[in-house]
Amino acid sequence: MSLHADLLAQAKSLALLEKGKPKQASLRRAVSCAYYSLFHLLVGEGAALLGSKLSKDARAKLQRSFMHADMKTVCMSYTQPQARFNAQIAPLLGFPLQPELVALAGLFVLLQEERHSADYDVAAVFNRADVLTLVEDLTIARGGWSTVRTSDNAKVFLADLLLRKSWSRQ
Amino acid sequence: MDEEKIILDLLKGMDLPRDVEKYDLKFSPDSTGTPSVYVNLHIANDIHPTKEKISRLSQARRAITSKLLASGLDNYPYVKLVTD
Repeated sequence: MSLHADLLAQAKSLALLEKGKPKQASLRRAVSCAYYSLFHLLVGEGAALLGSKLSKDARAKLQRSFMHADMKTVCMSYTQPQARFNAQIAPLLGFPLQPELVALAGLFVLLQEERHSADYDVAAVFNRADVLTLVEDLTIARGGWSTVRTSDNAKVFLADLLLRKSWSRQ
Repeated sequence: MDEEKIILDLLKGMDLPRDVEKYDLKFSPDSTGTPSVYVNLHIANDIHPTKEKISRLSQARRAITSKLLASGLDNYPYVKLVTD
């Protein structure tokens, strides 16, 4: 299996690791795995799209170029109404955006925020139902992504994840 | 209309699953400083939730998120499932 698929499976396993009351550490790691599953899915797809002619090593280096914070900014923009979209990038897209693409972008934002909380907010309390629901959300979003990933909008989205700052220059 | 009222009206108009006991809102910047609203859906602390329950909660979170995003709020909406 791919890394992103393994991470999704691991997220679910960790959420269900204890037979009784789950340990917060298990739930926190599950949230982190869920986020990184989606992160690696998008980074892998983006590098495959942009670096299809590159060597394996060069494509791996390309994957390392994707930045978490920039990806969040981009994903947030794909959840917003068309009127608020970046003026330099909107002409590259066909509106309305596919709901599957919007849902995936929104889930990336949510998972990144949850991962931040899981890794850094010691006061946060996670519950099993919430974490399993995130895993379910991710499973559904991945299924939706598979139906739109070859669309022109999805290709622009993947490139945008890496190139937003450059593309935003007038 | 203020965003709190918009969100509460939207939630009142939705058919939420019985698993959601109550909800509340918290306006606060997120981890990267983006103005945000946290829509907290309160659920029971069930350590063995059924697949059906997870499916209902997932559907509810996705439906609420979709409606809130479509409404063009200035605060970015995060829908969370919390226990008391």
